[in-house]
Amino acid sequence: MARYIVKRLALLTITLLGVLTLTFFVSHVVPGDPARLAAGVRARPEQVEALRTRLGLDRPLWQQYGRYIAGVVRGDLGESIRTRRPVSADLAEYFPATVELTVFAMVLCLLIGIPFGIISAVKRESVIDHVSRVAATAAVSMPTFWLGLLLQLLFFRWLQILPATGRLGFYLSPPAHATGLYVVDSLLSGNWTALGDSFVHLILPGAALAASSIAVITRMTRSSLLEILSLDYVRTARSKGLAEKVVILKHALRNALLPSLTVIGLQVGVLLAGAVLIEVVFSWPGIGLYAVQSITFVDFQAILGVTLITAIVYSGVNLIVDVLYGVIDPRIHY
Amino acid sequence: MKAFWKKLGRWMAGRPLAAAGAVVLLAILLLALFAPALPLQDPQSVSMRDKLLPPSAAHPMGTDDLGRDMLSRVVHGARTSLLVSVIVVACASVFGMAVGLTAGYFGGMADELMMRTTDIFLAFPGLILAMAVAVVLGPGVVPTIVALSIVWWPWYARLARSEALMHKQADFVEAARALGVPTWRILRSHILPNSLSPLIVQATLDMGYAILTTAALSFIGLGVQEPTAEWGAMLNIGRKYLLSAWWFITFPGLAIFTTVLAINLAGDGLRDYLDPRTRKRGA
Repeated sequence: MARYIVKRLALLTITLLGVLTLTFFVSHVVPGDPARLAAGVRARPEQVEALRTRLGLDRPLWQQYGRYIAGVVRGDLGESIRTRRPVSADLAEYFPATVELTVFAMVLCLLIGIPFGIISAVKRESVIDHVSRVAATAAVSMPTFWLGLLLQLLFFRWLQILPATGRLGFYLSPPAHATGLYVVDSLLSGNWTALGDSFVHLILPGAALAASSIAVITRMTRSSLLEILSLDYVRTARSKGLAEKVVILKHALRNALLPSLTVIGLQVGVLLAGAVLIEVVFSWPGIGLYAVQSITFVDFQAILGVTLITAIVYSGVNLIVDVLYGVIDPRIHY
Repeated sequence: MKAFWKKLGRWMAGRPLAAAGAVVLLAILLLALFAPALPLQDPQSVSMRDKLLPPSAAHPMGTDDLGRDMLSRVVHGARTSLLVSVIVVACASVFGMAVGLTAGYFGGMADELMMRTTDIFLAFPGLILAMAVAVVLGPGVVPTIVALSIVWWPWYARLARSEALMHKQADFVEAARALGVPTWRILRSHILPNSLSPLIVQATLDMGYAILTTAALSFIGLGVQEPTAEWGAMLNIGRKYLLSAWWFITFPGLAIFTTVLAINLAGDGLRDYLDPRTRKRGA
C-alpha cells in the first residue's frame, strides 16, 4: 500500500511538472510577445522593454523555464495585470467561495444521486426508474449555465423566493473570517442570520451546478448495484432469509458504491469546470468568476493561476480516490 | 448497404427514444444546412426600433437587444455549433486514434510516453484547459476549434490504445505479422478497422459535449464572437436582460438542449447497435 502511494505520488509529480511545462508553453511561447501582453495594450515601447527585463523575458527560454518552475514551487504565480496584485493573493481570496460552492454541489450529488440510484435499481423498470432515466439524460444534455439562468428566471424573477446573485444579502456583512467558507464561518462564530442567508444563497447555484453530476451518479449507482444484485453472495443472503433491506443496504450497496467512487472523483473535475460558468451566472466571487473577469483584460497570469490550481486540486482528488479504493476494498492489492 | 439501412430501421423501431433522437438530429442538420435558403429574416439585420420585442407572429422567438430576429439567429446558430463540433471531433479523433493505435501496438517507450503525455492533458478539467488555450489563441471560430481539439484528443488516444492492446495479440494479426505484412499495413488494415466501433460511438456522443463546450466558451466571452450567430454568445448577452426579456435566454438555450439531447439519444442507440454487449448493462 505504502509503495503504491509513493509510486502514485511520483507519477503525480511527473504529471504536475508536465502541467507546469504546458502552462509555461502556453504563457511564454505561444503568444507573440508576453511582455507586450503583460504591459497592456496602451503601454509605450519603453515600458514594454522595462517590463521585459523585469520579468526576465529577455533571457534564454530555458532560463525562463527554470525561473517559472522555481517561482511556482515557491507559490509565486506572477502578478495580475488587472488587479495589480500577486495572483496567489487573489486566488487565496477567491478560492474559498469556489470550494464552498463545489462542496455544496457534491453533497447534493451524494444525497440525491445515491438514493435515487438505489431506488432505480431495486424498483427496476418501475415509473421511478423510467423518470430517473429520462431526467438523467435531460440533465447531462443541458448546458449548466442555461440551467442556472432558468432557475434564476423561475425562483428569483417569477416566484421571488430565492436570491439570484452573490453569497450573502447586501445588508449583511460576512461572518468573522476563519475558513472563508461562509457557512462554516457563520457556524463557528454563531452568526445564525449569516448562516441562514449564506445557505439560501447556495441553493440555486448549487442545484444548477450539481444537476448533471447527480444524473451521472444516479445512473452509475443503479448499474453497479444491479450488477452486484445478480451475484451469488446476494442470492445466498436472500436465501438464508435476510430482510431485503439488509441485503441491499448492508450487503450489496457497499460493493456497489466502489465503482461509483471513481465516478465521483471524476465528477469533481466536472464540478470545478462547471463552477466557472455558474459563478459567472450567479456573480459568485470564486476563482471561476476571477478567471472570466481576467479574460477581458487578457490577464494571462491570472487565468493560468486558476488553470494550475484546478489541475492540482483535480489530480489530488483523483489520487485520494484511488488510494481510498484500496483502503475500502480488501481484494485490491497494489 | 440497403440491407444495412433496413436492418437499422427495424432495430430503431424497437427503440423509440433513439429513433426520435435520430429524427430530431436529422431535422436540425437539415435546418442548419439550408438556413440561408429558408424564408427567415436576415440574422444580422439590426433595427433599434424593434429591440427586445416579445415573441409575436412577426418574430416567433422575439427579438434581441439590437432588434434582430431571434428565430433566424437561433437557426443560423445551429450552423456555427454543428460545424465547430463536427470539426473538433474529427480532428481530435483522427489525431488521437493515430497516436493511440501506434502507442498501443508498439508498446514500450512509445506507450509510456503517450500515457504520461495524456496524463498531463487529463489533469485539467476540459473546459478550463480549453479556456486557457482559447485566451492565448484569441477569439474566433478557428481558435475555438484548435482549443477544443487540444482538450479532446487524449480521450481518443487512450481509447484507441486499449483497442490496439486488445487486438495486437489476436491470431489474425499474428498471422499477418508472420506473413511479413509491413507494420503500417497491419495497423491500417487489421487493427484500425477492428477498433473503429467504440471510437465511432465515442465520437458521436462527444458531439454533444463539443456543442456544450463551444457554447460555454462563447458564453464566457471567448470563442465565437458577435455578430456571428452562436448559441452561447447569444446567452451571454441575453443574461443581461434576464429580468426584462425571458425569451432572450430561453430559445438559444432550448436549441442547445434539444440538439445535445437528440445527439445523446441517437448516440446511445448507436452504441447499443454497434456493441450488443452494452445492452445487458441496462445503463
